[in-house]
Amino acid sequence: MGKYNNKKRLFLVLSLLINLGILFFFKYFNFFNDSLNSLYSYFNIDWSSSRIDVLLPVGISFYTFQALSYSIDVYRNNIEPEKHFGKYALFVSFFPQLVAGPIEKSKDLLPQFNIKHKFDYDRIKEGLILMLWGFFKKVVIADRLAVLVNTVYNSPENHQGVTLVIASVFFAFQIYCDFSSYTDIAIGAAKVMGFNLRKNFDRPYFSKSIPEFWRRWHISLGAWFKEYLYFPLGGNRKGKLRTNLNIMIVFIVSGLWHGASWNFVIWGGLHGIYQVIETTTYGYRTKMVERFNIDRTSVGHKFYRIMLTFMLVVFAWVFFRANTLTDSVYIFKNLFVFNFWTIFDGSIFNLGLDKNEFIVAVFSLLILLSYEIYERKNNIFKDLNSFNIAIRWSFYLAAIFGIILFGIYGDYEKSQFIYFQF
Amino acid sequence: MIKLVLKIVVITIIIFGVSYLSSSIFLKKELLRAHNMYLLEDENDILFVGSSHVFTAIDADFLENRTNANVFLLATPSQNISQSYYLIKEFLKHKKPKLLFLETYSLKEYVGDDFVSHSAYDGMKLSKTKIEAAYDASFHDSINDLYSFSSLVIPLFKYHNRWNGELTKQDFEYFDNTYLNKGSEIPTANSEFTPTDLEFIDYDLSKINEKTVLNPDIESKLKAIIQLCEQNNIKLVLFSTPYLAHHGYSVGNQIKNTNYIKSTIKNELINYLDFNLLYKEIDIRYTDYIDSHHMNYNGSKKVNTYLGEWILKNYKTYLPDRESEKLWYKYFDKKLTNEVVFEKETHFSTHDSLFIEKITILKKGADSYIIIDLNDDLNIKKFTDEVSSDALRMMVHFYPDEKDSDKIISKEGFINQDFKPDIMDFKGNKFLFSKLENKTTAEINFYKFANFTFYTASKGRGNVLTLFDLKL
Repeated sequence: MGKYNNKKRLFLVLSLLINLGILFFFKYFNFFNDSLNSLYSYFNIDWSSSRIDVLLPVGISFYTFQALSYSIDVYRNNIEPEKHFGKYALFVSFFPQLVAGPIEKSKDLLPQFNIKHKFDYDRIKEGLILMLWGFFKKVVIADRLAVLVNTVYNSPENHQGVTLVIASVFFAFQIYCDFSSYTDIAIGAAKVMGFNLRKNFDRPYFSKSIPEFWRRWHISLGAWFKEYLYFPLGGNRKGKLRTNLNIMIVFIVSGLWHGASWNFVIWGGLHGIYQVIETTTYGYRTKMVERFNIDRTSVGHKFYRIMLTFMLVVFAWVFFRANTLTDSVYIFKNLFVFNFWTIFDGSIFNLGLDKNEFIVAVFSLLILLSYEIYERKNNIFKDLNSFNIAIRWSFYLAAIFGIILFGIYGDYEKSQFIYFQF
Repeated sequence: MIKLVLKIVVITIIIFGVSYLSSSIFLKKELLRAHNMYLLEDENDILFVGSSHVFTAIDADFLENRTNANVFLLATPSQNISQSYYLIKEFLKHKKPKLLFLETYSLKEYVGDDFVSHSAYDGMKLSKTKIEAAYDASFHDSINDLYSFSSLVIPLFKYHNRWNGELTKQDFEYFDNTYLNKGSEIPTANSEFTPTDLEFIDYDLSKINEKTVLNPDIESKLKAIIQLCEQNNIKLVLFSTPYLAHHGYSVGNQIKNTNYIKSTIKNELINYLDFNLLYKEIDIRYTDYIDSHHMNYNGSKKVNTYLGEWILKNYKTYLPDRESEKLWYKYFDKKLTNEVVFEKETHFSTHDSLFIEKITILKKGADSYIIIDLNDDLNIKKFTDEVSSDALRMMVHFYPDEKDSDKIISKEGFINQDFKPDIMDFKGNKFLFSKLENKTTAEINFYKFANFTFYTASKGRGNVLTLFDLKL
């Protein structure tokens, strides 16, 4: 038995080394190499190694993590090893979610390859509508917001105050729509074929705290880190200090997972710090609430918490989006410059989106928020079915022609999904 | 299952049907030159196919007047050989010309860029030929562009962003108000060259005897065009207008390709005419160009005078004589009925006994015409003398909006300022004074106001006789 366990451990280590080795080679070698070179040069040590000039395989972080989850689950006896190589290969390379998730657990996805999928009209329809919604979010919202965001973030030194605030808020929605649209299209496409993928986003900008945000944002990655990193590190079972340290490790690694740059590390670290502060100050905050007799269930208080959480998330996104660390510092220094009048003097329309494009951007964001508010207690796809065919089809056709007319494609600059790079 | 398939079919038909129909609104109307082939009611005798070299040099009205045959230009910017092939194929569904002039400059490439493809195919109605053309332009060798294909078939996908401020009333009414434009767009601007550019003209291109093998795709499309001509009993002339380009696909390349064709494709249907070899014969000067590729009104006049005679000399017996049908006048009568945007009685005297009694402006599609009615036939000569001796110069400023009246759209944009055209006889005591391009700048496609002025050079440039401001 011991020999068997050793063998299992050996294969797990091999699997981890190979998977993480490939990921490291493609994604992190140059980052660590550059960082080490900078460190050596700081201490005047004459040593430098050259960079590797290779293309980063699209979505490598996603399928590496999915492959790792299989190895670890088998090692932990959570699932039976898959003996059919084709099915395993399909699990790792299942095309709808291959390049940007959701990161599926082997125990959820693998068994679905053994089920015979029957034609289900309603399921296919639901899948197609979800894909349509995904296209709307990507082509109409995300890519339109990207025009303004890119203008500002690619030359932040030309901007101050309100402009930087608007660009940062727009980026928050851009990245959400960009990433969640891919997820919607992936889930929808899988659904059309009879497969169920896990939910990856649950109205994250309506979160009332940072921990809640992480339970609603990129859910599959959060769950992966929780299960395969946070718990093995000890989770919250080894005292407050260790819990906080574990949180910081998970978020810094999560930052690194997104990209090999100090900006991503700081972004992850910032979210870690938010969480640590939130958990350590919980007791004091509760006392304050009781002392000032604040009703935590009131709409006003909820709204305040949602806005505060959103602001914290937007602050962190600045590091995520800025091209360099220097840019991030500049943006933070100039974010609070008071030049509110630029909203009214028309200069806001010189940032890539003219007045009409800006109106479409804001209007489409209102559609997004209305949809999410409606989704809180309803299911729009099910509710649509209660309408007669004329209304339903008008809705579908309006959505399709909305995408065709107002979508950013064709003569506009071609854009990829942001998360393809991760 | 059947229910779903049915629904998908219906929704697909609705989506593509509505997208296709609404494309006509979103299309850029200045790229619809090819659409004129569907508006051609009369028989066509001579068809010119090629690039902007053709529509800036070949004057359909002039040639019709000279040859008594019906002329039409199926020319689009930077047209390449595959586009020529599909446009001819589509044209032959409607009309059967006797003589086809195919510009050899189109041998330069097989597939053009996005703008070139749309310029050629946006005016084409949806048909199997158009789908083949779009496929050829989008999936060829290393090009594999589904978006290009779908936007060529359904142009809404290309022009959807015109919702943002570009659509005008004209876009909604265009197809209801469109009348035939035979395709010529002769620029009236002066040359941008200086006499030092003459060296290109002086170079004796007839010394080029080398042959350059055609790219196999280009050769196969050329052969396909020859086959279409054979099937439809059309005489083919491989021709080139004069141009000065000495970079990219130069005149030299074009002549070498033509030499190769002459030596390899033996076919009695084919004739050759290269104006680049006739510089001295027709006295082409640097002032005859607006740029290195395009003739202006002066150059066009020389080319068309020679071409008219050349057609009569080589094909007179082959072409029908339509003088009795007076299609040339019919065409202009129709224009006078439908396309007058301005008509004003006047008693404007340039000097002495020369009176302009009426000025009429016709404008449709890309062309504008100014027709001047003089007080009698005798004065046509006087007027012609005035203009050709530079004693009288006409200046027209068109501008898009009343508030922009001080903005003269000229030189860079509207290129009609202060030119000295040759005058073409028209019927009676009217004559066609000028042909203008109404294309001004990329943003201004349709002018609304004009300021119409004569300069009498003898009294000095400062002495301006402003005839009137007109609101079109």
